[in-house]
Amino acid sequence: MFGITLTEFLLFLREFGIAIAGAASLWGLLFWFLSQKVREKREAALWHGASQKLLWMFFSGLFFYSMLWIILAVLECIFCVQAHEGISLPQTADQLTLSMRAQYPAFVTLLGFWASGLVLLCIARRFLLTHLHFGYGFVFLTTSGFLLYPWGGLASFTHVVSNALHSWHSILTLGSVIIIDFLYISLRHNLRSLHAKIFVFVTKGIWIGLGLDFLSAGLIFQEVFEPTAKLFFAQTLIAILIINGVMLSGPIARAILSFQEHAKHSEIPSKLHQVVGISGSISLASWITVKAIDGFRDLTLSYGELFGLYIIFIAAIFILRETFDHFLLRETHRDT
Amino acid sequence: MHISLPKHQLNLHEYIFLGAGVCTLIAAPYLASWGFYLWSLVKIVYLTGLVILFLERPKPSISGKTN
Repeated sequence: MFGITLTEFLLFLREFGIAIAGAASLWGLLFWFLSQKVREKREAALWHGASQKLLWMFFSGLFFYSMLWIILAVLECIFCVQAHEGISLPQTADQLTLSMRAQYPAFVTLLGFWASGLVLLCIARRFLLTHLHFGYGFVFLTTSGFLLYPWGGLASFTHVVSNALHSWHSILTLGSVIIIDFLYISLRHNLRSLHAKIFVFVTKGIWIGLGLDFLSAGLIFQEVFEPTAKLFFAQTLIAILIINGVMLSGPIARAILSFQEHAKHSEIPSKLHQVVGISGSISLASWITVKAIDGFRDLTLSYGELFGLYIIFIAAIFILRETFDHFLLRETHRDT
Repeated sequence: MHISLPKHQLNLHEYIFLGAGVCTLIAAPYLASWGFYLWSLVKIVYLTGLVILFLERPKPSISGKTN
């Protein structure tokens, strides 16, 4: 459909999973470090709580990635691409087969680790939560290894570096945007005081991720630059991402911080919450779209059609976020 | 309680990112011609903004705390 193959779609979903798992382990580990570093006990407990909260994204991301890896292995995919910003190196079917075979031992280890974690979650939750940082560290290193190492082999050193940066930045961009959104919604009712700090902290990672993508594109753009409607649209999305990111991490985050300093025990006003919701939805929809369209090499949609679908996607994410948020709010009120 | 977005509170790196974003938006439809040069310049400006992000001392919020 629209020139998108099943393999391309599955590869996109697989990268989506590893980005979430990688980002959850990265930020989980950093939040844990902060909980050890901060002297004030309450703040240390809050960072520790945020680190533990990421456990759900961590397990879900790993599960999603593992399932897609297995499905792709079973289907023996015939075509594969890796890209994020519209400028990327395509991989051949042979390279994909080679990379998946080379990754097999590491993948089985990761799958075993995920299953052990799940068992521990059921029978020894306290032990798991105490040693969670080791798990985060292990999975972060493994997922980074998956994304950074040229498993399928590449033509030159420049290609290796470009491909590594191109793949790994997903942890800092797509994965981190999902993490920040998850934390905003899930912490809204119990760890509110961390909101603005997390915004600023994680957003720095997202800016770095986009910078890494620019660098990776700069290394290869002379070879692969193709001025197509898809590239123009991807660049429009990058522009929207930057402008939206400035607003979200700057004035909006500061507005939340200022509000919390003035009204410590009340909810964020609904107007401000809606602004955050729209901005968060734009951010999430843009990263998912930019990553997806780059992977779909033979996309037949025009600029206008892509933009129309993108607007619908933003609306869908906003409605989903609001529904999830109302559900959480109802559950919180029921508990209290 | 009424709350409004703080005005005139953008940090230097935020102005740079904002400029980079707007220029990318302008250049995107013209990448096949002159837009390409502006787009290339934006990448360098963005990376400069990234360096400033880590060097800059953030502006205080309304109550004087920095974030």
